[in-house]
Amino acid sequence: MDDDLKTLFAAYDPTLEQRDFAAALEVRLDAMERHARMARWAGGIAAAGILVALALSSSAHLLNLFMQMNGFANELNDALLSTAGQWTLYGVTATALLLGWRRIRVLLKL
Amino acid sequence: MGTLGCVAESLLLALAANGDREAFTELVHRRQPGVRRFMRQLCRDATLADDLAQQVFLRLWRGRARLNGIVSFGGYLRQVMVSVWVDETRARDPLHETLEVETVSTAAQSLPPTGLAQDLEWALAQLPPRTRLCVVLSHSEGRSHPEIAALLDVPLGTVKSTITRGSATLRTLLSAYLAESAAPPGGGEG
Repeated sequence: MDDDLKTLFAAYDPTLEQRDFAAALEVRLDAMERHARMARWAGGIAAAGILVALALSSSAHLLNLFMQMNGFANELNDALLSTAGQWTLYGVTATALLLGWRRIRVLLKL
Repeated sequence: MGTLGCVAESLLLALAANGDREAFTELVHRRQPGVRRFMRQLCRDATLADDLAQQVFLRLWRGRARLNGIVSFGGYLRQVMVSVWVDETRARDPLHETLEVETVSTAAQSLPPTGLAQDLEWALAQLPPRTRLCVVLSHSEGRSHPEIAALLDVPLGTVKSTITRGSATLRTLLSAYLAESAAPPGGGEG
């Protein structure tokens, strides 16, 4: 149907100067490569920065958590000494004296 | 470039996919006339056409990893060419994309021939970008209507009507050439 136009298009043969095309493309490819390399560098540095910041913040977080646990344990320790610890000590001493009086006497050769 | 002159294109593609610039340069050397010719038909301006052709190859190089398992490099290249052209028209005039139904300007009338290449480029330039693309893909690249519809992601009916409209306009604008080609050999009345 469009054979007449297709024939015209087939005859179309524009002058294509080879001159600068390849050279210009090489220049643009080089620039693109350079740009991509720089982008990779920038991306790498940014990623490293993020990792360092994450590591620092996570270690600080861990340290903070440890200190909180330590503080809690200390508080617990103080509480035990002041109440249960003392009563336990008294109880154990009294039981030992009552139940082991004979053995203590033998041991002391009383 | 010389050493790769007789290497099969599939091997060049594999090498280029692995970042071999020499292989890619050879590919460019082989394919650039077709790409530049296609772009010249679409945009008339030789400098812009070469710029767009270079953009095609830059895109190919950027996505070179995809070249490795490619079945039809010609088809892939055509896809990139169309994509570059569509992006260019969108960047220049976003409204053109929606204004498919566009008529040829009244100033555009058949002119006395000055040379087929120039006149064909001029006549094509009178068509809306999308119509021009369809006509070039059909008449110059030899693509079928369904192929063009798939390539441009538009309904088949739209492609057919666009090409019919574009062809009619071209016939009017290039009537001098068509009359020449329609004339019987010898030109005498017998």
